Amino acid sequence: MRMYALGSNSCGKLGIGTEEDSNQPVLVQGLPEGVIQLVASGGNHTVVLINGVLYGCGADDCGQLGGMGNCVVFRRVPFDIADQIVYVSCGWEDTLVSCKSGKVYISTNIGFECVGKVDSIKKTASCMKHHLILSHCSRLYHYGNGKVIGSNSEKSSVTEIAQHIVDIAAGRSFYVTIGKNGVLEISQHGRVPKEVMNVPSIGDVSHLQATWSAVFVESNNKIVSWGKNVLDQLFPNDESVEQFSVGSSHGLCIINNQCYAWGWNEHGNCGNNEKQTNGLHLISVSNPKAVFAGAAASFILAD
Amino acid sequence: MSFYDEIEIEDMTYDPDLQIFTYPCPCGDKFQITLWDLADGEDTAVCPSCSLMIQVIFEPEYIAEKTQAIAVAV
Repeated sequence: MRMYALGSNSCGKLGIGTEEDSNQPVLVQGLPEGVIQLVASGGNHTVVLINGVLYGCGADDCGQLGGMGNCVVFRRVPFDIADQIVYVSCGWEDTLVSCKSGKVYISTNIGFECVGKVDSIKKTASCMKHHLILSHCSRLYHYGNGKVIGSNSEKSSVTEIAQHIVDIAAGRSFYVTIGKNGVLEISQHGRVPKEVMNVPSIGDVSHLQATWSAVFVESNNKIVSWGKNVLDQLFPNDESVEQFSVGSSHGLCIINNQCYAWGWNEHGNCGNNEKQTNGLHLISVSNPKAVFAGAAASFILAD
Repeated sequence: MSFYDEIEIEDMTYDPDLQIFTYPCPCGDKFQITLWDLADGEDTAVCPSCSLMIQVIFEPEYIAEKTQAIAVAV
């Protein structure tokens, strides 16, 4: 499996050997052969879980790569804990690593610090300074900036905040959940954009995701999106997609075995020179299998 | 001139050494505005790496407190 990257390359977060932006997909450097299980990225760093091992590139000035140092190609992240990594997600300047034991770790300048233990971890979602952890027992936990859960303090350990939750997504200053009853709910605390609060009437939803200021779900094989659209970051049409991913202000999807991008494109992350794309724009990569969108950065996995 | 977003000053990060307020930009860099620009009534924070700008929402008293503290220290 190969991984291509394009877009904003601040601090070398694309892992292509330079800090120059690219508006064309470039093969990343430093990853071993294997199955790429997860890609996650923050403002200026990217991590990849491959064969159960964590690799990273970009900025490490805040310890987002566990103290391994800034790097413009992928290198093994010093996660020296005898536990199987099951999920990884990134805040703006940190990395949350969840393990099979249920232990949750946050990156620091000197490795990874355990910030709590929950039952078996299904998924995590992170944005800016807050992190959500969803367990297989449908319990939802929070770590980080307390404002999104109505607290003025920083949470230094994992705290349970809800039950009966089956899916989660994290926006910049809010989060979204889907309950066992199928109901989608927006968090009520902190600064939730009014455009996000205005949930459209939709039926059964799946594949919940969020950007900084917008929410995306799949419903009846179409992407439904709502929220702020100042940079055309909402999904532009009714096409059925095989997979999609949304970054800070743009998105990527796969339709009929082709990769497309939409939204803000000032750094070439949609694969061309235009500042904003008009509708979906084709990114030329053969056999795309999965896409991941970050902070004006695009990552495409291909066979 | 259109703003990417409106951000409350309490949500920005203040660096007392550089006397600058910052907030993450979706490109990865940070919107920036100096304490002294805010004291002059300027409210546009710009990103050095792209064209996006945010409007900073603040009370003049919030800024005056910081500038007065510096004046006392000096």
